[in-house]
Amino acid sequence: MRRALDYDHMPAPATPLAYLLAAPWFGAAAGLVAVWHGPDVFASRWHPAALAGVHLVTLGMLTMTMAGSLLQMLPAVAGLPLAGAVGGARRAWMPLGAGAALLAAAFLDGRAPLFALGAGLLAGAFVLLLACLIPTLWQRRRRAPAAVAHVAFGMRAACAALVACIAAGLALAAWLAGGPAVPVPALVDVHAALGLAGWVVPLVLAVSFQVIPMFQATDPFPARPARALVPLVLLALAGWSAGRWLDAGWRMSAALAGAALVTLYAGIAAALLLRRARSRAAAGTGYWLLALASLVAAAWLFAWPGAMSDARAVAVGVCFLLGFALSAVNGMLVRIVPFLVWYHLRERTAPDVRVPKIADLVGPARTRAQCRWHVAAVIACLGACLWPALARPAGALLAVACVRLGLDLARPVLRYRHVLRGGTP
Amino acid sequence: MTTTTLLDLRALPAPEPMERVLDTLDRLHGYAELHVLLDREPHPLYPILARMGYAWRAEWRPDGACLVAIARTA
Repeated sequence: MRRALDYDHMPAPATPLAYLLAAPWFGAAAGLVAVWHGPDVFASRWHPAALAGVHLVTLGMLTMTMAGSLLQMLPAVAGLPLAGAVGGARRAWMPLGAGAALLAAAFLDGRAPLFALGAGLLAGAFVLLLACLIPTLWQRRRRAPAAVAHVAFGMRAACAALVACIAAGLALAAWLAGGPAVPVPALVDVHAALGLAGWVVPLVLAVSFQVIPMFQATDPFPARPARALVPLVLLALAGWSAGRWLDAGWRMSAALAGAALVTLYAGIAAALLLRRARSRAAAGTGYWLLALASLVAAAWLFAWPGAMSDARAVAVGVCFLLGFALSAVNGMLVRIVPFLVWYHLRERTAPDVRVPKIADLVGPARTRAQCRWHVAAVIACLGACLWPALARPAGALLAVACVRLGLDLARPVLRYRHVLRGGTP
Repeated sequence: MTTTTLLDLRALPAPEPMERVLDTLDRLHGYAELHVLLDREPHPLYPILARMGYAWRAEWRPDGACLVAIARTA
């Protein structure tokens, strides 16, 4: 499998950077919700404060990063130039961020009009985004090169699951806003499964098939599992969702199959990272290893037969959202943002203008320190599922880790503007 | 006679190879041809090379490495 990229159709740097720079501040807000509400956030997945924190992470941090990354990677990784309403997608980060903040406020406040306003903004944001992503992913004139066809498939699958997840979420938000009744427990479970196992997992897997070898200097991901994993995970998700909707016991078999599949993925990816020829670890390796271990832990905690207590359900969420998804996103952000800044500086400045080195934009020591803060936050949040007294310190650690990340990403962009205005690098 | 400098940048994580190539070109000031061994073709490097006044040719070798030869345009 060749690791080929197409940079002929790279979007302007502001397009992905607006999303990528905004994302960490929603993680910080989720941390502050835990500081403010304390043990309630980790007491039950149904608690309003927990729902507020979860949606700040899933919409504000994860979807914000994943949407920005897609706008960058569709042309650069999947070989699909942006099509459709590109201008709207460039601006969708604003209603997406405002909608995530309003939805979190609605959960905390409980007033129906806030749910309606938040859901309306989010619906608008997703319409703007999908009006670009769908024509780009399913364009007739241009197909993804054969070497990355499985990456494009994973992106398509993730976007299809996102559409179903949004539909379920909007139905629930309409009910909370005083609209028609819906089967709440089943719809919430399917909404969560579509968002986590349908939107997040396929996209992270598909992107990692390219970016782990490229940014971590490993051997290529083996072709056969790379082609098969995403479709099989989707099959397991479809089986579990159907079983949950019908309240059938056999859905546990689908959950166990899904857990086995992500364990296989994590094993292959970890082996690539740990067996690479180069002894020096590339920046971001720690994030990837934590993400892989957390994905396996979340999958088996969820799938293993037995009663799903509140503590167990919250631990699944912490392992998946903070341990897996946020770690993978952190690892990507600390590599991609400095690279984008450096690349566009080299491309836009005169050849005789000195451009800062990538390591000077976000240094390896700073990245390692950031990773330690993130690991501490994940461990503390996991601890808070069992020991409620840890809830506030855990929230504070998460907020600090995300603020540090936000500042680390903003600094290179400020230097970029400074150099373009003729300042010294 | 033109001298040739060879850089083996295989097994370096992106984007280190691109940064090293540009640093080396800055040091050579166009007085030598630069040959670079990579494990992928450096597409993002090409627009920058063109802006800096360099020409390049890339070929895949039987051992799976991509050899990129870079020289100042006349």
